[in-house]
Amino acid sequence: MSATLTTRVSPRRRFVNALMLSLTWVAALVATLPLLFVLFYLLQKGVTSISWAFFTQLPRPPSVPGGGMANAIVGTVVVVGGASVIGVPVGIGAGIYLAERKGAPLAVVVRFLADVLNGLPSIVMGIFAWELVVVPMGHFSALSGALALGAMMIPTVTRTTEEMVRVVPSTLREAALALGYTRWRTSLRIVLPTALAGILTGVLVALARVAGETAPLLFTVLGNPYWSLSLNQPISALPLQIFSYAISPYDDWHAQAWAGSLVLIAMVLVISLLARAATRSGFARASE
Amino acid sequence: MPASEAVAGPNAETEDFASLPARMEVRGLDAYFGKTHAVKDVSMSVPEHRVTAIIGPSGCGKSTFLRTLNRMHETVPTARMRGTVLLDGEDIYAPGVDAVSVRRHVGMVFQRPTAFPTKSIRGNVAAGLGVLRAVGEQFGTEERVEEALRRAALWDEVKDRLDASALGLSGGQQQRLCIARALAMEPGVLLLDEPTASLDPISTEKVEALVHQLRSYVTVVIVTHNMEQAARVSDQTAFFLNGELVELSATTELFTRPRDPRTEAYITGRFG
Amino acid sequence: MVDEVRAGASGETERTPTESPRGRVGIHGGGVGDRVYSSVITLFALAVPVLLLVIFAVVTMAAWPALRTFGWGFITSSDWDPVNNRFGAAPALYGTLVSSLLALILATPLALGVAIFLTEFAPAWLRRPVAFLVDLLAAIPSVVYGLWGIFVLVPILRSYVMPFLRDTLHLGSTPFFSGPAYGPSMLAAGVILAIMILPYISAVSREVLMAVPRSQREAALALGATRWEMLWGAAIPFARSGIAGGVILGLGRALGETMAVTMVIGNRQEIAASLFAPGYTMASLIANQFTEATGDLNLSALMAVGFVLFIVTLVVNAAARWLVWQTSREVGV
Repeated sequence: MSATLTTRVSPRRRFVNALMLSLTWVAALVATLPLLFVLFYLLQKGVTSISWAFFTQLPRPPSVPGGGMANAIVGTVVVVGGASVIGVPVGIGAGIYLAERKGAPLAVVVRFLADVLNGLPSIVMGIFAWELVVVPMGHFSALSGALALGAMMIPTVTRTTEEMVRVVPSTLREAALALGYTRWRTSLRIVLPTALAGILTGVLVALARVAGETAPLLFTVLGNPYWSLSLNQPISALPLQIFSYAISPYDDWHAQAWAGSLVLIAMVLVISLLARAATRSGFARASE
Repeated sequence: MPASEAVAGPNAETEDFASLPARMEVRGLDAYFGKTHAVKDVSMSVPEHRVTAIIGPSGCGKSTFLRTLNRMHETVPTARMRGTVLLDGEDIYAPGVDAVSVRRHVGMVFQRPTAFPTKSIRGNVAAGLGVLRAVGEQFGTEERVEEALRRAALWDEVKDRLDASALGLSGGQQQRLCIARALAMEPGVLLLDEPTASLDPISTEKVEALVHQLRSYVTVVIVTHNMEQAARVSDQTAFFLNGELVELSATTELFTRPRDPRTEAYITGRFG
Repeated sequence: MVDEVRAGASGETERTPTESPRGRVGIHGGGVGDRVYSSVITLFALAVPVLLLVIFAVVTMAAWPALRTFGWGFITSSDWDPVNNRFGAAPALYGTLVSSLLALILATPLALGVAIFLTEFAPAWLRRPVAFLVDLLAAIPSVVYGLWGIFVLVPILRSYVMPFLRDTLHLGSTPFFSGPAYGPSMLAAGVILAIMILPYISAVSREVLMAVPRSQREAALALGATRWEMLWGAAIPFARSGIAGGVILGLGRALGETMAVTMVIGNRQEIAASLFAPGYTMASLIANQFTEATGDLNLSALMAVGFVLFIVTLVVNAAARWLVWQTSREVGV
C-alpha cells in the first residue's frame, strides 16, 4: 500500500472545512433572521391596531380615536392602476420587440437601457415626474405619481415579456405562417396568447414592487387627508401615509403606521402569490 | 373538392406519371441560405392526386426543397431562391404574388405536432379559417371543422370534446389534428415534412394510412427519411442527394430498378 | 420590402450561371399589417431610450442653475444655507458612500455565506424555504424597513449594540465609534441597508455559483481538496466576476435607497468620522429638504443632488451589469 493512500487530511484542514461549513449555516441563519424579526414586529404591533375603522375611516388628528387609512388604501390602488396604464403597454410592447428582433442593434441598446432604467433610484423618478408634470400643471396630482411608478414598472415588464415570448417554440410560429397567417397575426393571435400567463406574472411582480414605493410619491402625489379618486388632484397613498405617521411624534399614529405596514405587506404578498399562481397555471398548460 | 376519379393504388406499376396532370411544377429551382447552396437546379412535376415522396440522407436539401413549395423557405433570414414554381400553371414566385396567399393553397404539416396550446380542438382546426374569410370565402365553420377532422381520421376520437384543450390529445392525435388544421383550408397541395418522425409506431401507422386516403382530396408531397415509409405510402418518389434531384420515378421502379447508381447505393443502405 | 424582380415570369427557365444569384430576399414584406405592427412595437421599444433621455434631460436642466452657480464646489462644500443661498452636497455625498460601503461590508460576507450554503451545504429540504425567506427580504417595502428601523433597530443599537462596540470591544477609543450614541446614525443606516441589499447579492452569487461547471469542482475535489478548499480555491474564483457584479449591484441599490435611510440616519448635514453620529445621504437629503425648499436656487440645489445621485448610480450599475455579463460569457451560459 502506497503511502499516499493512507495519508489523511490534516486535522487543520478538516477543522477549517468544518468551521467554514458551520459559518455558512450561521450566515443562513443570520440572513433569515431580519425577515422573521421584521414580520414578527409587524404582526405584533400591527394586528392590535387593525380595526374595521382602519379600513373605512379617513385619517383623524392624533389623539382623536377612530381614524383610519381608507383613503390611502384606495389611493394606492388608483395610483398603481394609473401606473399600469403607462407601464404595462410600453413594457409588453418593448418586450415583444426585444423577443422578435433579438440581435438588432436597437434591441441590444434597449435591453441595456431597460436595465439602466431599472437601477435608477426611485427618488430620481420622483424628481423626474415632479419636473415634468407637477411643475407645469402647477399642483400635485395622482397622475404625476402614476407616471413615476409607471416608468419604474417598464423594465420588469419588458424583461419578463421578452423571456416569455422567446420561450414560445418557433415551430408554433411556423405552423401559423404555414396556414397563411401574416407575421403580425402570428405574433398577436398565436404567440402572445401562448406567452400571456408568463407576461401576466411579470406585470404582477412589477405591480407588487411599485405598490410599496414611497420616494417617488413624496413630491408627486403629496398625500391627501380626504377621499379623492381624481388623477388631477393630490391623492393619499399607503406608503406615504405610513411614512408621515411613522416620523410623527404621536403614539396612536405610530400604531396606525404599523397597521398600515401590515396591510401594505399583505397587499404585496397577495399580488406576489397571484403572480405565482399565474405562472403555475400558464406553465402547466404550455408544458403538456 | 372534386371527388377523385378512379385513383390507382400506390405502387401501381402501370401508371405513367408523365401523362398525369401536374398540380405543381418546379423548374430550375435553386435555394440558398446565405452562401450555402442547399438546393441545386431541381426540376420536377408533382402529379395531381398522387403522393410524391422525397427521400435522401439528412442534409440533402429535401426539407429545404419542400419549403420552397409554399414559400416558407423565405421566412428564414439569409434565405434566397431562384427558379420557377408553378401551382396550377401560375408561378408562385411571380412579382406581386403574396407569399401569404400562396400558403392558403399549399398547406404544410411539420415534424413535431404544433397544436396551438391556447386553443381548443375546434379552435385549432378552425385556426386558419379566419384567413379564408378575410379574402371573402364563405362557408360554415362547423361543417369545415367536421369535414377536416373526418378526413384526418380524427373525428370519432374527438367529436365529443371539440371544446377541450388541444393539449389533452396524445402526440399522434395532435399530429392528425395538425393535418386536419391544414386540410380545413382545403388546399390543393399538402406538404408533409417528416410527419411521423416524432411519433410512436402505432400513431405512425395511422398517419401513413391517412396519407394514402388523402390522395382523393389533395395532392401530397411527403419528405421522409424512412425509405420503407416512402415505399409504403407514395406513388412517385424523388431521391435527393447533396441538393440535387438524382432520380424521380414511380415508387416501385425506384426501389426495385433504380436507374442511378447513387440511388441504388442509398436504398441498399450503403450510406445513410 | 422590395422584392427583387426575377425575369422570366412567363415560365421559361432562366439561368445565368455566371451571374451571382439574385434570389428573393428573405422575410417577406407581408403588406400593410406587418408594417404597422412592426412600427408599433418599435415605437414601444423606443419609449425606453426616450424615457431615459427625458429623465436625464429633465433632471439635468433642473439641476443646472445650482450646478452652474456652485460648480465643482457643490460636491466639496458642506454648507446648506437656504437663507444665504449657499448649498453644498459634500456631507450627503460622504454619507451616501459611507453608508453604502458599510452596508456592503456587512452584507457581502453574509450574502456569500448564504449563497454557498444554498448551493453546497444545505440539505435538500432546507433549500427552498431558506432561499424563499432570503429572497422575500427584497419584497418588503422600504418604508416598512424604515418603520421597523425607527422603533426596533435604532433602540436596539442605542441600548445594546453601540455600548457593546464602544465599551466592551473598546472601540470607543477609535474615531469611528466615538461620540454620543443617540441611536439614529450612520451605523443604523448601514445596518438597514445591509439587510435590504442582502437578497440581491445573494441571488446573483447563487446564480453564478450554480453556473460553475461541475468539471471545475470535480477537478479540485479529485486533487484531494476538502469541500471548503474546493469552494475557496476553485468555485469562487471562477465565479469571481459574477459575484463582484452582484456586489456592485447591491451597491447600486444601496446608493439610491431613500426611505429606510432617511428614517434612521438622523438627517444631519455634517461629515463625521464616527459611525454613531447622524448624517445624511443624497437621497435622504432630497426627501427631507424637499418640502422645506425656499426659492429657486434651493430647489435647484436639491435637483443637483439628484443629478449627482443619478450619475453615480448610473456608473455603478453599468459596471455591475458589465461584470455579470463578463461571467456569463466566461462560463459560456
